Amino acid sequence: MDQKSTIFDRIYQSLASVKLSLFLFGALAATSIVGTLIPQESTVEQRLREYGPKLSAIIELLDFADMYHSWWFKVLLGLLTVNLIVCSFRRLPQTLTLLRAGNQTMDPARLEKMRHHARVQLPVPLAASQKLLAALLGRRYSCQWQERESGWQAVAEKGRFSRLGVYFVHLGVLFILGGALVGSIFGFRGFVTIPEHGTVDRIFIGGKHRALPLGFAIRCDKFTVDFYETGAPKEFRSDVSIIEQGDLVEQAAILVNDPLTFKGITFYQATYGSEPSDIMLQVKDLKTGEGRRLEVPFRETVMIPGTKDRLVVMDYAENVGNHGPALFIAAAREHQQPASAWILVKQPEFHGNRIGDLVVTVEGLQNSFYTGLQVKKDPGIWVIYAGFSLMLLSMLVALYGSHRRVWLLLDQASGGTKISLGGHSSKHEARFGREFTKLTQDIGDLSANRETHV
Amino acid sequence: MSSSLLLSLVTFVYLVAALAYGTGWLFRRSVLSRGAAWVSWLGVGLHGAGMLVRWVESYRMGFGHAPLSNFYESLVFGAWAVVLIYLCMEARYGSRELAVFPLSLAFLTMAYASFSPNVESKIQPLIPALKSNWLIAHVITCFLGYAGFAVACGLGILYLLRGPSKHPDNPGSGIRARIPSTQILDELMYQNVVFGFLLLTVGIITGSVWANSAWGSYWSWDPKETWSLITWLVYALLLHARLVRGWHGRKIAWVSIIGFGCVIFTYLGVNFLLSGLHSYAR
Repeated sequence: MDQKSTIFDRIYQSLASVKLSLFLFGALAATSIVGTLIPQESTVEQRLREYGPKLSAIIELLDFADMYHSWWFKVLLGLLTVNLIVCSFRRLPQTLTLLRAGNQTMDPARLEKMRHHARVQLPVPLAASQKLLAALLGRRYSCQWQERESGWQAVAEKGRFSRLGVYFVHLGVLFILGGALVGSIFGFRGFVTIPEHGTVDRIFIGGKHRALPLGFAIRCDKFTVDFYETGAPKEFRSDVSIIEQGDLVEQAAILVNDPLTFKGITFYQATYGSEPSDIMLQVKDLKTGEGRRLEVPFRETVMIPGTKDRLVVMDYAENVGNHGPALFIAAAREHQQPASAWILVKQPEFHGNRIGDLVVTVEGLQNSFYTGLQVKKDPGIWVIYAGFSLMLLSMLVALYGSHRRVWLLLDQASGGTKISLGGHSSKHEARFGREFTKLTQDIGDLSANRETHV
Repeated sequence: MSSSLLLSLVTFVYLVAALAYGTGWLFRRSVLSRGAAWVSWLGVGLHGAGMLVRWVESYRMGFGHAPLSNFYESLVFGAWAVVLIYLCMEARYGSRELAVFPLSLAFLTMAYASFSPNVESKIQPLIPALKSNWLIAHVITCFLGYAGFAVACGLGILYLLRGPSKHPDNPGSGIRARIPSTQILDELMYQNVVFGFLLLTVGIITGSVWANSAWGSYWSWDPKETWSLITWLVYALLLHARLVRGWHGRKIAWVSIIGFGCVIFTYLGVNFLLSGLHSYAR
């Protein structure tokens, strides 16, 4: 039993040590470098080509290609979290003791040993001196006065809670890590493309592998892209409508840096593109001589009316073989093998505009935009923002604040009052030194007669 | 006068200041050092004016934005921040022996910005991703932080130059005798790191909030983000080591130099050697 508790003790000790924190800072920094040198989320083939089989095997083994989500990186982050919690809890009692330390009784010998100490003589009776001092100190510090046998004693202090600043910084870090965890468990990130005038009610998560119903529909009413005279893009803008159970509930514009949030789901302008629409085809069967006109939506299979033949426009290209725009069309005719061909849009007479026995002519074609939206739900974001604020504010307090204390002893002396004072600051000794000297002078100035030793 | 002309002029003002500070320091001519301080304040003033003129110019071109949007403008602001922070330190602590590093750095940065053919100094309109109020807060805080780290690095180098730790208070003669005491260097190094750390933290946070409103992701392990975190971790290590483990002097000097190396890599290395979201900052 004893043996066991020693091991736990030792584990606890090392988890609570600042040495471990320093090690983890260094280790996280050093390993993070690796992930910036090896491209993240590359494919196995890319890595084999780039690094060869041996290095690739190491990369695979240590998850270097998705390093920041690897088990060992998470272990490091987890260790830092545990270290931060344990360390803070172990040090907190000491800090709380220091917060209360001002109340203890002080004797002249201890005051003399302080780095900042002084003696002042005031030619004023004890009771009056106490009143003068209480007024002076009360303007600058929060004071506690206590009557002693031979006089008065006081503790004047300021910035007491700066000692707690560091704990709130750490709490802020925990909020941030916790918020990230909440987001990764209860949130999602997805993507959706919507053609102009098109409506979608589901988005795709994880590289288009999984569709997620939104619970409402979003329609892209208009997509606009503006350019500067230089040709650089000026603005991407999607005007969208949110439709819930057939009712239009909201209309808004989504711009870069100006997303739209509806029911906790946020849409961000991410990409755009154009695709063909209003495709009108003339299809003529060479054998029968029959010709038909039909409208074919992009990437949707349609039946050629009056036949059992199917047709789909699979792709569009701006320029095929220097002959201008073309549509890639596939046809599956009854009793025949499916076939496909690029059909030139601008050159209807081109002899290659045929799929098997079908001569295809493009009679109408429009280009319309589609917008690409990043879709996100992250219930952890407010926890993270709270963590950011907490961390920043308390960092200011922790790094720039200091707990300054001045102890005073007032004694009756011949012809007046003898005042001994000593001061201590938790940080910024030099600055406090100036503050202490000023205070000593001001106390001396309470009367004309002054005797100061710093 | 156009802003680029004014800013290239500032380059030479800093050169003069750096040389005057250097000679004044090495040959103990306090007149020169005092003159150098005046020249530096003049430089900072002209430099600030140059940035303001550039801001106005961008409005005249019809797409006004703060001069903090591309590589050139970030170099210019960074150099300004270094000199400003140095001069504030000088005004507060009254020692002019620490000026050579920050002023030379400012001179080199401005020379690179103004005269390198690889740095585009034309005012360009903002691409949609940069059109955000967070841009100003993010760039200003990051570069003020970097500037604090730069000054701390200069102090670290001086600290190491001052000689071995065995006799820190007996610097002997020569250049080492002209370097302020190790206590002062140590204290100022710490002050600048604290300032830099605070500002870098604000910079990372504003960047993160901005990324969340632009792309819906407050952290995506983009190389720039990751390197800023690496830098932050190095300085977090420095502060913990000093405040809790009692590290002082040479150790802190080394960490502050390494930290500034990380700053440089975050700023330049990531742009030139790696790829990522901040690629427009080329």
